[in-house]
Amino acid sequence: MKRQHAVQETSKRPGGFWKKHRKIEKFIYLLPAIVIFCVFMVWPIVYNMYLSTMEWNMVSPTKKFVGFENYINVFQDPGFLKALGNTGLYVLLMMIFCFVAPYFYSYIIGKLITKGEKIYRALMFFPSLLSLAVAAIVFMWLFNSVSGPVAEIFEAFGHESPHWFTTSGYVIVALSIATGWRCFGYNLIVFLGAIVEVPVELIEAAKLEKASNWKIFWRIIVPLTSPTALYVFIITFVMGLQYVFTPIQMITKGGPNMASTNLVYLIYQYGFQFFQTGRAAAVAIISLVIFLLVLFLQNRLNKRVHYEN
Amino acid sequence: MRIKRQKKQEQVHIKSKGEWKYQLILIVSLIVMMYPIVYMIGTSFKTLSDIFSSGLNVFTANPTMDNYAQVIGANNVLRLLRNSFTIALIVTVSKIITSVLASYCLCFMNLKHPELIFGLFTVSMFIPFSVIMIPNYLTLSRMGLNNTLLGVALPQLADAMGIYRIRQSMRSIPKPLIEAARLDNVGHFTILRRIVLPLVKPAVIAMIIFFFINSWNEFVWPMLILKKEELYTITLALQTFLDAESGSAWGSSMALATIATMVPMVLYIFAQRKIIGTFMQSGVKE
Repeated sequence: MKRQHAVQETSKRPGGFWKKHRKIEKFIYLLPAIVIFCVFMVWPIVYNMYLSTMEWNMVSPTKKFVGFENYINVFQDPGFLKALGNTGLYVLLMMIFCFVAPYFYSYIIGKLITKGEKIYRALMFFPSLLSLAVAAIVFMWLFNSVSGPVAEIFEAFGHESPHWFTTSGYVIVALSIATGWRCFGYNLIVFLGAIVEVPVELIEAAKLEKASNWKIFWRIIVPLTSPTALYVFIITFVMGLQYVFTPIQMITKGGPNMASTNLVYLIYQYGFQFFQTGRAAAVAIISLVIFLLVLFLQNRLNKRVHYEN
Repeated sequence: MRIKRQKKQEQVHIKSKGEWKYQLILIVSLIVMMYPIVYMIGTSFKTLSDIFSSGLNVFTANPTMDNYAQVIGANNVLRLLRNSFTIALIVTVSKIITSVLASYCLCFMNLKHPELIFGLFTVSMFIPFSVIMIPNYLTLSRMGLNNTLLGVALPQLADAMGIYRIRQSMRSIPKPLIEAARLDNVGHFTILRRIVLPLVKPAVIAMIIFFFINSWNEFVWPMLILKKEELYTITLALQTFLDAESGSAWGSSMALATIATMVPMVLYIFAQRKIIGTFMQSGVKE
Protein backbone atom coordinates (compact mmCIF):
# COMPACT_ATOMS: atom_id res chain seq x y z
CA MET A 1 0.00 0.00 0.00
CA LYS A 2 2.65 2.41 1.04
CA ARG A 3 4.61 1.74 -2.09
CA GLN A 4 1.66 2.35 -4.34
CA HIS A 5 1.03 5.61 -2.59
CA ALA A 6 4.56 6.72 -3.22
CA VAL A 7 4.26 6.00 -6.89
CA GLN A 8 1.00 7.86 -7.23
CA GLU A 9 2.27 10.83 -5.37
CA THR A 10 5.21 11.31 -7.65
CA SER A 11 3.53 10.28 -10.88
CA LYS A 12 2.25 13.78 -11.41
CA ARG A 13 5.71 15.00 -12.21
CA PRO A 14 6.57 14.65 -15.86
CA GLY A 15 9.72 12.88 -16.93
CA GLY A 16 10.73 16.01 -18.79
CA PHE A 17 14.40 16.49 -19.37
CA TRP A 18 15.53 12.95 -18.59
CA LYS A 19 12.94 11.46 -20.87
CA LYS A 20 14.61 13.11 -23.80
CA HIS A 21 18.06 12.18 -22.65
CA ARG A 22 17.69 8.55 -21.61
CA LYS A 23 21.16 7.60 -22.73
CA ILE A 24 22.83 10.38 -20.83
CA GLU A 25 20.91 9.43 -17.71
CA LYS A 26 22.04 5.80 -17.85
CA PHE A 27 25.54 7.00 -18.35
CA ILE A 28 25.39 9.29 -15.34
CA TYR A 29 24.34 6.44 -13.05
CA LEU A 30 27.24 4.28 -14.15
CA LEU A 31 29.76 7.06 -14.52
CA PRO A 32 31.03 7.50 -10.94
CA ALA A 33 31.85 3.81 -10.54
CA ILE A 34 33.32 3.52 -14.02
CA VAL A 35 35.55 6.56 -13.62
CA ILE A 36 36.98 5.31 -10.33
CA PHE A 37 37.55 1.83 -11.76
CA CYS A 38 39.19 3.12 -14.90
CA VAL A 39 41.45 5.63 -13.19
CA PHE A 40 42.44 3.51 -10.18
CA MET A 41 42.07 -0.08 -11.41
CA VAL A 42 42.41 -0.43 -15.16
CA TRP A 43 44.76 2.41 -15.98
CA PRO A 44 47.26 1.40 -13.25
CA ILE A 45 47.62 -2.06 -14.80
CA VAL A 46 48.37 -0.58 -18.20
CA TYR A 47 50.67 2.02 -16.70
CA ASN A 48 52.41 -0.65 -14.66
CA MET A 49 53.15 -2.62 -17.84
CA TYR A 50 54.55 0.51 -19.40
CA LEU A 51 56.70 1.27 -16.35
CA SER A 52 58.08 -2.26 -16.34
CA THR A 53 59.86 -1.53 -19.61
CA MET A 54 61.41 1.70 -18.33
CA GLU A 55 64.39 2.60 -16.26
CA TRP A 56 63.27 5.25 -13.84
CA ASN A 57 63.85 6.38 -10.27
CA MET A 58 60.37 7.79 -9.63
CA VAL A 59 61.56 11.41 -9.36
CA SER A 60 63.62 12.18 -12.45
CA PRO A 61 61.63 13.87 -15.23
CA THR A 62 62.82 11.43 -17.89
CA LYS A 63 62.37 7.70 -18.24
CA LYS A 64 64.58 5.51 -20.36
CA PHE A 65 63.13 2.67 -22.42
CA VAL A 66 64.97 -0.56 -21.69
CA GLY A 67 62.66 -3.24 -23.10
CA PHE A 68 62.76 -6.45 -21.10
CA GLU A 69 65.89 -5.55 -19.22
CA ASN A 70 64.04 -5.07 -15.93
CA TYR A 71 62.59 -8.56 -16.18
CA ILE A 72 65.98 -10.05 -16.98
CA ASN A 73 67.59 -8.17 -14.10
CA VAL A 74 64.87 -9.24 -11.74
CA PHE A 75 65.27 -12.91 -12.60
CA GLN A 76 69.02 -12.64 -12.05
CA ASP A 77 68.54 -11.00 -8.67
CA PRO A 78 68.99 -13.63 -5.94
CA GLY A 79 66.70 -11.49 -3.77
CA PHE A 80 63.86 -12.02 -6.22
CA LEU A 81 64.32 -15.78 -6.27
CA LYS A 82 64.39 -15.76 -2.48
CA ALA A 83 61.19 -13.71 -2.39
CA LEU A 84 59.57 -16.03 -4.92
CA GLY A 85 60.38 -19.08 -2.83
CA ASN A 86 59.18 -17.37 0.34
CA THR A 87 55.95 -16.38 -1.38
CA GLY A 88 55.35 -20.03 -2.20
CA LEU A 89 55.89 -20.92 1.47
CA TYR A 90 53.55 -18.19 2.69
CA VAL A 91 50.86 -19.28 0.26
CA LEU A 92 51.26 -22.91 1.29
CA LEU A 93 50.99 -22.11 4.99
CA MET A 94 48.04 -19.81 4.42
CA MET A 95 46.33 -22.58 2.45
CA ILE A 96 46.66 -24.83 5.50
CA PHE A 97 45.50 -22.21 8.03
CA CYS A 98 42.85 -20.48 5.94
CA PHE A 99 41.62 -22.97 3.37
CA VAL A 100 41.99 -26.54 4.67
CA ALA A 101 41.42 -25.78 8.36
CA PRO A 102 38.28 -23.64 7.95
CA TYR A 103 36.88 -26.20 5.50
CA PHE A 104 37.04 -28.92 8.16
CA TYR A 105 35.93 -26.63 10.97
CA SER A 106 32.93 -25.38 9.01
CA TYR A 107 31.93 -29.02 8.41
CA ILE A 108 32.20 -29.78 12.12
CA ILE A 109 30.31 -26.63 13.15
CA GLY A 110 27.72 -26.83 10.41
CA LYS A 111 26.94 -30.52 10.34
CA LEU A 112 28.50 -32.54 13.14
CA ILE A 113 27.45 -30.78 16.32
CA THR A 114 24.03 -29.96 17.68
CA LYS A 115 24.85 -27.38 20.30
CA GLY A 116 26.72 -24.10 20.28
CA GLU A 117 27.01 -23.56 16.51
CA LYS A 118 26.16 -19.89 16.84
CA ILE A 119 28.62 -19.23 19.64
CA TYR A 120 31.50 -20.91 17.83
CA ARG A 121 30.63 -19.07 14.67
CA ALA A 122 30.39 -15.67 16.35
CA LEU A 123 33.59 -15.99 18.38
CA MET A 124 35.77 -17.68 15.78
CA PHE A 125 34.84 -15.00 13.29
CA PHE A 126 35.77 -12.15 15.57
CA PRO A 127 39.55 -11.99 14.83
CA SER A 128 38.68 -11.27 11.19
CA LEU A 129 37.28 -7.91 12.26
CA LEU A 130 40.62 -6.77 13.59
CA SER A 131 43.17 -4.87 11.58
CA LEU A 132 46.11 -6.88 10.28
CA ALA A 133 48.23 -4.24 11.99
CA VAL A 134 46.63 -5.14 15.33
CA ALA A 135 47.16 -8.85 14.64
CA ALA A 136 50.81 -8.15 13.81
CA ILE A 137 51.56 -6.23 16.97
CA VAL A 138 49.74 -8.72 19.23
CA PHE A 139 51.62 -11.66 17.74
CA MET A 140 54.88 -9.78 17.94
CA TRP A 141 54.51 -9.84 21.73
CA LEU A 142 52.98 -13.33 21.83
CA PHE A 143 56.04 -14.69 20.04
CA ASN A 144 58.49 -12.53 21.97
CA SER A 145 61.33 -14.91 22.62
CA VAL A 146 62.21 -13.62 26.07
CA SER A 147 58.97 -13.59 28.00
CA GLY A 148 56.09 -13.87 25.57
CA PRO A 149 53.43 -16.50 26.27
CA VAL A 150 54.76 -18.81 23.54
CA ALA A 151 58.23 -18.66 25.09
CA GLU A 152 56.69 -19.50 28.47
CA ILE A 153 55.09 -22.61 26.99
CA PHE A 154 58.41 -23.71 25.52
CA GLU A 155 60.04 -23.10 28.88
CA ALA A 156 57.40 -25.17 30.65
CA PHE A 157 58.42 -28.08 28.47
CA GLY A 158 62.06 -27.44 29.19
CA HIS A 159 62.99 -26.02 25.80
CA GLU A 160 64.33 -22.68 24.86
CA SER A 161 61.97 -20.73 22.61
CA PRO A 162 63.27 -20.14 19.10
CA HIS A 163 63.83 -16.52 18.15
CA TRP A 164 60.78 -16.44 15.94
CA PHE A 165 61.31 -13.20 14.09
CA THR A 166 65.08 -13.35 13.69
CA THR A 167 65.53 -16.96 12.61
CA SER A 168 65.23 -17.88 8.97
CA GLY A 169 62.44 -20.40 8.48
CA TYR A 170 60.69 -19.77 11.81
CA VAL A 171 59.98 -16.22 10.76
CA ILE A 172 57.71 -17.23 7.88
CA VAL A 173 55.83 -19.64 10.12
CA ALA A 174 55.31 -16.99 12.81
CA LEU A 175 54.16 -14.32 10.34
CA SER A 176 51.83 -16.80 8.63
CA ILE A 177 50.31 -17.77 11.97
CA ALA A 178 49.60 -14.11 12.72
CA THR A 179 48.01 -13.55 9.29
CA GLY A 180 46.24 -16.91 9.35
CA TRP A 181 44.76 -16.23 12.77
CA ARG A 182 43.34 -12.96 11.50
CA CYS A 183 41.88 -14.48 8.29
CA PHE A 184 40.65 -17.90 9.47
CA GLY A 185 37.28 -16.66 10.70
CA TYR A 186 36.29 -14.94 7.50
CA ASN A 187 36.87 -18.04 5.41
CA LEU A 188 35.16 -20.17 8.04
CA ILE A 189 32.03 -18.04 7.71
CA VAL A 190 32.10 -18.17 3.91
CA PHE A 191 32.43 -21.97 4.02
CA LEU A 192 29.65 -22.22 6.58
CA GLY A 193 27.40 -20.23 4.28
CA ALA A 194 27.78 -22.97 1.68
CA ILE A 195 27.80 -25.96 4.02
CA VAL A 196 24.50 -25.12 5.75
CA GLU A 197 22.93 -25.27 2.29
CA VAL A 198 23.90 -28.92 1.87
CA PRO A 199 20.66 -30.89 2.43
CA VAL A 200 20.59 -32.73 5.75
CA GLU A 201 18.72 -35.62 4.11
CA LEU A 202 21.74 -36.48 2.02
CA ILE A 203 23.93 -36.74 5.06
CA GLU A 204 21.34 -38.72 7.00
CA ALA A 205 20.99 -41.17 4.16
CA ALA A 206 24.74 -41.60 4.06
CA LYS A 207 24.84 -42.13 7.83
CA LEU A 208 22.18 -44.82 7.62
CA GLU A 209 24.50 -46.61 5.25
CA LYS A 210 27.19 -46.31 7.90
CA ALA A 211 29.36 -43.90 5.98
CA SER A 212 32.01 -42.27 8.16
CA ASN A 213 32.05 -38.52 8.70
CA TRP A 214 35.31 -38.41 6.82
CA LYS A 215 33.75 -40.12 3.82
CA ILE A 216 30.70 -37.87 3.94
CA PHE A 217 32.97 -34.87 3.87
CA TRP A 218 34.75 -36.04 0.73
CA ARG A 219 31.79 -37.57 -1.11
CA ILE A 220 29.01 -35.11 -0.28
CA ILE A 221 30.26 -31.88 1.24
CA VAL A 222 33.22 -31.24 -1.07
CA PRO A 223 31.40 -31.82 -4.38
CA LEU A 224 28.42 -29.72 -3.30
CA THR A 225 30.46 -26.78 -2.05
CA SER A 226 33.12 -26.64 -4.74
CA PRO A 227 32.14 -23.19 -6.14
CA THR A 228 32.57 -21.68 -2.69
CA ALA A 229 35.79 -23.62 -2.23
CA LEU A 230 37.05 -22.08 -5.44
CA TYR A 231 36.26 -18.61 -4.16
CA VAL A 232 37.95 -19.26 -0.81
CA PHE A 233 40.94 -20.77 -2.58
CA ILE A 234 41.40 -17.63 -4.63
CA ILE A 235 41.06 -15.23 -1.72
CA THR A 236 43.40 -17.38 0.36
CA PHE A 237 45.93 -17.16 -2.44
CA VAL A 238 45.55 -13.38 -2.40
CA MET A 239 45.99 -13.43 1.39
CA GLY A 240 49.18 -15.46 1.08
CA LEU A 241 50.42 -13.00 -1.51
CA GLN A 242 49.28 -9.71 -0.01
CA TYR A 243 47.92 -9.87 3.51
CA VAL A 244 51.25 -11.04 4.88
CA PHE A 245 52.67 -7.68 3.78
CA THR A 246 51.38 -5.91 6.89
CA PRO A 247 53.05 -8.23 9.44
CA ILE A 248 56.23 -8.28 7.34
CA GLN A 249 56.35 -4.50 7.23
CA MET A 250 55.50 -4.09 10.90
CA ILE A 251 57.63 -6.80 12.47
CA THR A 252 60.56 -7.85 10.28
CA LYS A 253 60.80 -5.48 7.30
CA GLY A 254 61.69 -8.52 5.23
CA GLY A 255 64.52 -9.65 7.49
CA PRO A 256 66.54 -11.32 8.79
CA ASN A 257 68.60 -11.21 5.61
CA MET A 258 65.50 -11.35 3.35
CA ALA A 259 64.31 -14.52 5.06
CA SER A 260 60.76 -13.18 5.41
CA THR A 261 60.43 -11.01 2.31
CA ASN A 262 57.85 -11.90 -0.32
CA LEU A 263 56.99 -10.65 -3.81
CA VAL A 264 54.72 -7.84 -2.65
CA TYR A 265 57.24 -6.66 -0.09
CA LEU A 266 59.91 -6.77 -2.76
CA ILE A 267 57.76 -4.55 -4.99
CA TYR A 268 57.45 -2.12 -2.12
CA GLN A 269 61.19 -2.14 -1.49
CA TYR A 270 62.17 -1.76 -5.14
CA GLY A 271 59.61 1.00 -5.59
CA PHE A 272 59.73 3.01 -2.40
CA GLN A 273 63.11 2.27 -0.85
CA PHE A 274 65.54 1.61 -3.72
CA PHE A 275 63.64 3.84 -6.18
CA GLN A 276 63.93 1.31 -9.00
CA THR A 277 60.44 1.84 -10.27
CA GLY A 278 60.94 -0.21 -13.43
CA ARG A 279 62.03 -3.25 -11.49
CA ALA A 280 59.19 -2.84 -9.02
CA ALA A 281 56.73 -2.72 -11.91
CA ALA A 282 58.30 -5.80 -13.47
CA VAL A 283 57.91 -7.78 -10.23
CA ALA A 284 54.31 -6.55 -9.99
CA ILE A 285 53.57 -7.85 -13.48
CA ILE A 286 55.24 -11.16 -12.68
CA SER A 287 53.11 -11.52 -9.56
CA LEU A 288 50.01 -10.75 -11.63
CA VAL A 289 50.93 -13.41 -14.17
CA ILE A 290 51.46 -15.98 -11.40
CA PHE A 291 48.11 -15.06 -9.92
CA LEU A 292 46.31 -15.38 -13.24
CA LEU A 293 48.03 -18.70 -13.89
CA VAL A 294 46.83 -20.07 -10.56
CA LEU A 295 43.34 -18.75 -11.29
CA PHE A 296 43.34 -20.47 -14.65
CA LEU A 297 44.69 -23.79 -13.35
CA GLN A 298 42.29 -23.85 -10.44
CA ASN A 299 39.41 -23.10 -12.77
CA ARG A 300 40.37 -25.98 -15.04
CA LEU A 301 40.73 -28.33 -12.11
CA ASN A 302 37.42 -27.26 -10.70
CA LYS A 303 35.66 -27.92 -13.99
CA ARG A 304 37.11 -31.39 -14.13
CA VAL A 305 35.92 -32.11 -10.61
CA HIS A 306 32.47 -31.03 -11.70
CA TYR A 307 32.38 -33.28 -14.72
CA GLU A 308 33.58 -36.28 -12.77
CA ASN A 309 30.69 -36.01 -10.38
CA MET B 1 3.99 -31.42 12.92
CA ARG B 2 4.63 -34.74 14.60
CA ILE B 3 6.51 -36.09 11.64
CA LYS B 4 8.64 -33.03 11.60
CA ARG B 5 9.47 -33.34 15.27
CA GLN B 6 10.23 -37.00 14.93
CA LYS B 7 12.52 -36.26 12.06
CA LYS B 8 14.28 -33.62 14.03
CA GLN B 9 14.84 -35.99 16.92
CA GLU B 10 16.20 -38.61 14.60
CA GLN B 11 18.47 -36.06 13.06
CA VAL B 12 19.72 -34.95 16.45
CA HIS B 13 20.31 -38.55 17.36
CA ILE B 14 22.31 -39.22 14.24
CA LYS B 15 24.21 -36.02 14.56
CA SER B 16 25.06 -36.29 18.21
CA LYS B 17 26.87 -39.59 17.93
CA GLY B 18 30.35 -38.82 19.13
CA GLU B 19 29.53 -35.17 19.43
CA TRP B 20 31.58 -34.70 22.61
CA LYS B 21 34.70 -35.43 20.59
CA TYR B 22 33.95 -32.59 18.19
CA GLN B 23 32.89 -30.28 21.00
CA LEU B 24 36.25 -30.91 22.65
CA ILE B 25 38.13 -30.03 19.46
CA LEU B 26 36.08 -26.86 19.05
CA ILE B 27 36.39 -25.70 22.64
CA VAL B 28 40.16 -26.17 22.66
CA SER B 29 40.45 -24.37 19.31
CA LEU B 30 38.23 -21.58 20.55
CA ILE B 31 40.39 -21.03 23.64
CA VAL B 32 43.54 -20.89 21.50
CA MET B 33 41.89 -18.49 19.05
CA MET B 34 40.51 -16.18 21.70
CA TYR B 35 43.72 -16.07 23.69
CA PRO B 36 45.46 -13.36 21.59
CA ILE B 37 42.50 -11.01 22.00
CA VAL B 38 42.16 -11.59 25.73
CA TYR B 39 45.94 -11.28 26.01
CA MET B 40 45.87 -7.93 24.18
CA ILE B 41 43.17 -6.50 26.44
CA GLY B 42 44.63 -8.00 29.63
CA THR B 43 48.16 -6.78 28.91
CA SER B 44 46.95 -3.26 28.24
CA PHE B 45 46.02 -3.04 31.94
CA LYS B 46 49.31 -4.36 33.27
CA THR B 47 52.43 -2.61 34.47
CA LEU B 48 55.66 -3.55 32.76
CA SER B 49 57.00 -5.63 35.64
CA ASP B 50 53.64 -7.35 35.78
CA ILE B 51 53.90 -8.26 32.09
CA PHE B 52 57.33 -9.78 32.50
CA SER B 53 56.38 -11.82 35.53
CA SER B 54 52.90 -13.03 34.68
CA GLY B 55 53.66 -15.79 32.19
CA LEU B 56 50.54 -17.06 30.48
CA ASN B 57 48.17 -15.42 32.91
CA VAL B 58 46.31 -12.64 31.15
CA PHE B 59 44.72 -11.22 34.29
CA THR B 60 46.40 -9.05 36.84
CA ALA B 61 45.84 -8.44 40.52
CA ASN B 62 46.53 -4.71 40.28
CA PRO B 63 45.25 -3.32 36.99
CA THR B 64 46.61 0.04 35.93
CA MET B 65 45.37 2.68 33.51
CA ASP B 66 48.90 4.03 33.00
CA ASN B 67 49.24 2.53 29.52
CA TYR B 68 46.08 4.23 28.38
CA ALA B 69 47.07 7.52 29.96
CA GLN B 70 50.43 7.33 28.22
CA VAL B 71 48.92 6.47 24.85
CA ILE B 72 46.25 9.15 25.06
CA GLY B 73 48.85 11.74 26.04
CA ALA B 74 51.78 10.88 23.82
CA ASN B 75 49.99 9.61 20.73
CA ASN B 76 47.13 12.04 20.66
CA VAL B 77 44.56 9.30 20.32
CA LEU B 78 41.73 11.68 19.58
CA ARG B 79 43.52 12.90 16.47
CA LEU B 80 44.25 9.33 15.37
CA LEU B 81 40.62 8.39 15.82
CA ARG B 82 39.48 11.48 13.96
CA ASN B 83 41.76 10.73 10.99
CA SER B 84 40.65 7.11 10.81
CA PHE B 85 37.04 8.14 11.13
CA THR B 86 37.28 10.82 8.43
CA ILE B 87 38.74 8.41 5.89
CA ALA B 88 36.32 5.63 6.77
CA LEU B 89 33.38 8.00 6.50
CA ILE B 90 34.33 9.41 3.07
CA VAL B 91 35.09 5.93 1.74
CA THR B 92 31.92 4.34 3.10
CA VAL B 93 29.49 7.05 1.98
CA SER B 94 31.01 7.26 -1.47
CA LYS B 95 31.20 3.51 -1.99
CA ILE B 96 27.53 3.19 -1.07
CA ILE B 97 26.44 5.96 -3.44
CA THR B 98 28.44 4.69 -6.40
CA SER B 99 27.38 1.10 -5.75
CA VAL B 100 23.68 1.92 -5.44
CA LEU B 101 23.67 4.06 -8.60
CA ALA B 102 25.58 1.49 -10.65
CA SER B 103 23.47 -1.40 -9.37
CA TYR B 104 20.27 0.44 -10.15
CA CYS B 105 21.48 1.16 -13.66
CA LEU B 106 22.52 -2.47 -14.18
CA CYS B 107 19.17 -3.78 -12.98
CA PHE B 108 16.52 -1.38 -14.20
CA MET B 109 17.78 0.90 -16.95
CA ASN B 110 17.69 -1.44 -19.95
CA LEU B 111 21.37 -1.40 -20.67
CA LYS B 112 22.44 -3.24 -23.77
CA HIS B 113 24.93 -5.56 -22.07
CA PRO B 114 24.33 -5.40 -18.33
CA GLU B 115 25.94 -8.81 -17.73
CA LEU B 116 29.09 -7.81 -19.54
CA ILE B 117 29.45 -4.55 -17.62
CA PHE B 118 28.72 -6.32 -14.37
CA GLY B 119 31.29 -8.98 -15.25
CA LEU B 120 33.94 -6.33 -15.80
CA PHE B 121 33.14 -4.79 -12.42
CA THR B 122 33.48 -8.12 -10.63
CA VAL B 123 36.77 -8.94 -12.34
CA SER B 124 38.22 -5.90 -10.63
CA MET B 125 37.62 -7.60 -7.27
CA PHE B 126 40.48 -9.92 -8.10
CA ILE B 127 43.05 -7.38 -9.24
CA PRO B 128 45.95 -7.74 -6.81
CA PHE B 129 46.69 -4.54 -4.93
CA SER B 130 50.40 -4.96 -5.58
CA VAL B 131 49.90 -4.31 -9.30
CA ILE B 132 48.10 -1.01 -8.84
CA MET B 133 50.05 0.22 -5.82
CA ILE B 134 52.85 2.13 -7.54
CA PRO B 135 50.81 3.67 -10.41
CA ASN B 136 48.15 4.85 -7.96
CA TYR B 137 50.81 6.35 -5.75
CA LEU B 138 52.18 8.24 -8.76
CA THR B 139 48.72 9.40 -9.85
CA LEU B 140 47.96 10.77 -6.41
CA SER B 141 51.34 12.47 -6.13
CA ARG B 142 50.70 14.17 -9.43
CA MET B 143 47.31 15.31 -8.16
CA GLY B 144 49.09 16.77 -5.14
CA LEU B 145 47.14 14.49 -2.82
CA ASN B 146 50.15 12.84 -1.26
CA ASN B 147 49.99 13.26 2.50
CA THR B 148 46.28 14.04 2.58
CA LEU B 149 43.39 12.06 4.01
CA LEU B 150 41.54 12.56 0.73
CA GLY B 151 44.41 10.89 -1.09
CA VAL B 152 43.88 7.76 0.99
CA ALA B 153 40.17 7.76 0.23
CA LEU B 154 40.19 8.69 -3.46
CA PRO B 155 41.12 5.36 -5.11
CA GLN B 156 38.53 3.63 -2.95
CA LEU B 157 35.45 5.63 -3.79
CA ALA B 158 33.86 2.70 -5.65
CA ASP B 159 33.84 -0.98 -4.78
CA ALA B 160 33.00 -4.02 -6.85
CA MET B 161 31.87 -5.96 -3.77
CA GLY B 162 29.27 -3.26 -3.11
CA ILE B 163 27.95 -3.43 -6.67
CA TYR B 164 27.91 -7.22 -6.45
CA ARG B 165 25.90 -7.38 -3.23
CA ILE B 166 23.52 -4.48 -3.81
CA ARG B 167 22.76 -5.61 -7.34
CA GLN B 168 22.05 -9.09 -6.00
CA SER B 169 19.54 -7.59 -3.60
CA MET B 170 17.96 -5.35 -6.27
CA ARG B 171 17.45 -8.29 -8.58
CA SER B 172 14.87 -9.72 -6.20
CA ILE B 173 12.65 -6.68 -6.77
CA PRO B 174 10.01 -7.58 -9.36
CA LYS B 175 10.68 -5.69 -12.56
CA PRO B 176 7.01 -5.00 -13.32
CA LEU B 177 6.91 -2.84 -10.20
CA ILE B 178 9.58 -0.57 -11.66
CA GLU B 179 8.10 -0.67 -15.14
CA ALA B 180 4.69 0.33 -13.82
CA ALA B 181 6.23 3.33 -12.14
CA ARG B 182 8.06 4.18 -15.35
CA LEU B 183 4.79 4.06 -17.30
CA ASP B 184 3.41 6.54 -14.82
CA ASN B 185 6.20 8.86 -15.81
CA VAL B 186 8.11 8.60 -12.56
CA GLY B 187 11.75 9.55 -12.95
CA HIS B 188 14.48 7.02 -12.27
CA PHE B 189 15.88 8.93 -9.36
CA THR B 190 12.49 9.07 -7.67
CA ILE B 191 11.99 5.35 -8.22
CA LEU B 192 15.40 4.68 -6.77
CA ARG B 193 14.73 6.79 -3.71
CA ARG B 194 11.11 5.89 -3.02
CA ILE B 195 10.81 2.29 -4.15
CA VAL B 196 14.15 0.61 -4.58
CA LEU B 197 16.15 1.98 -1.66
CA PRO B 198 13.63 1.00 1.03
CA LEU B 199 13.57 -2.52 -0.40
CA VAL B 200 17.34 -3.01 -0.50
CA LYS B 201 17.94 -1.29 2.84
CA PRO B 202 19.19 -4.45 4.60
CA ALA B 203 21.87 -5.00 1.96
CA VAL B 204 22.87 -1.35 2.06
CA ILE B 205 23.22 -1.34 5.84
CA ALA B 206 25.23 -4.54 5.66
CA MET B 207 27.59 -2.97 3.13
CA ILE B 208 27.93 0.19 5.22
CA ILE B 209 29.21 -1.88 8.14
CA PHE B 210 31.45 -3.95 5.83
CA PHE B 211 33.03 -0.92 4.16
CA PHE B 212 33.46 0.99 7.37
CA ILE B 213 35.27 -1.81 9.18
CA ASN B 214 37.48 -2.54 6.18
CA SER B 215 38.48 1.07 5.80
CA TRP B 216 39.05 1.46 9.53
CA ASN B 217 41.43 -1.50 9.53
CA GLU B 218 43.39 -0.56 6.46
CA PHE B 219 47.15 -0.34 6.79
CA VAL B 220 49.17 -0.63 3.57
CA TRP B 221 47.66 2.11 1.43
CA PRO B 222 47.53 4.74 4.20
CA MET B 223 51.12 3.83 5.03
CA LEU B 224 52.19 4.72 1.50
CA ILE B 225 50.25 7.98 1.33
CA LEU B 226 50.48 9.37 4.87
CA LYS B 227 54.00 10.20 6.04
CA LYS B 228 53.26 13.05 8.41
CA GLU B 229 52.56 11.98 11.94
CA GLU B 230 49.66 14.37 12.39
CA LEU B 231 47.85 12.56 9.58
CA TYR B 232 48.37 9.06 10.97
CA THR B 233 45.37 6.82 11.34
CA ILE B 234 45.09 4.64 14.40
CA THR B 235 46.41 1.54 12.61
CA LEU B 236 49.39 3.51 11.29
CA ALA B 237 50.19 4.76 14.78
CA LEU B 238 50.71 1.14 15.86
CA GLN B 239 53.93 1.02 13.88
CA THR B 240 55.49 3.77 16.00
CA PHE B 241 55.87 1.22 18.80
CA LEU B 242 57.84 -1.21 16.76
CA ASP B 243 61.19 0.51 16.89
CA ALA B 244 61.25 0.11 20.62
CA GLU B 245 62.80 -3.34 20.63
CA SER B 246 63.42 -3.31 24.35
CA GLY B 247 59.84 -4.17 25.17
CA SER B 248 59.25 -0.99 27.13
CA ALA B 249 56.30 -0.19 24.87
CA TRP B 250 54.69 -3.57 25.49
CA GLY B 251 51.79 -2.36 27.60
CA SER B 252 51.11 0.88 25.78
CA SER B 253 51.15 -0.76 22.33
CA MET B 254 48.52 -3.21 23.57
CA ALA B 255 46.50 -0.28 24.89
CA LEU B 256 46.54 1.41 21.49
CA ALA B 257 45.73 -1.88 19.75
CA THR B 258 42.80 -2.32 22.11
CA ILE B 259 41.55 1.19 21.30
CA ALA B 260 41.91 0.46 17.57
CA THR B 261 39.83 -2.66 18.07
CA MET B 262 37.06 -0.90 19.99
CA VAL B 263 35.22 0.34 16.91
CA PRO B 264 34.87 -3.01 15.11
CA MET B 265 34.18 -4.67 18.46
CA VAL B 266 31.34 -2.33 19.39
CA LEU B 267 29.85 -2.60 15.90
CA TYR B 268 30.08 -6.37 16.20
CA ILE B 269 28.37 -6.47 19.59
CA PHE B 270 25.42 -4.47 18.27
CA ALA B 271 25.12 -5.94 14.80
CA GLN B 272 26.67 -9.36 15.13
CA ARG B 273 24.07 -11.24 13.16
CA LYS B 274 24.06 -8.65 10.40
CA ILE B 275 27.84 -8.64 10.07
CA ILE B 276 28.08 -12.43 10.01
CA GLY B 277 25.28 -12.55 7.45
CA THR B 278 27.09 -10.04 5.26
CA PHE B 279 30.37 -11.87 5.32
CA MET B 280 28.65 -15.22 4.95
CA GLN B 281 27.00 -14.18 1.73
CA SER B 282 29.99 -12.39 0.33
CA GLY B 283 31.36 -15.68 -0.99
CA VAL B 284 28.19 -17.34 -2.12
CA LYS B 285 27.88 -17.57 -5.85
CA GLU B 286 24.58 -16.91 -7.52
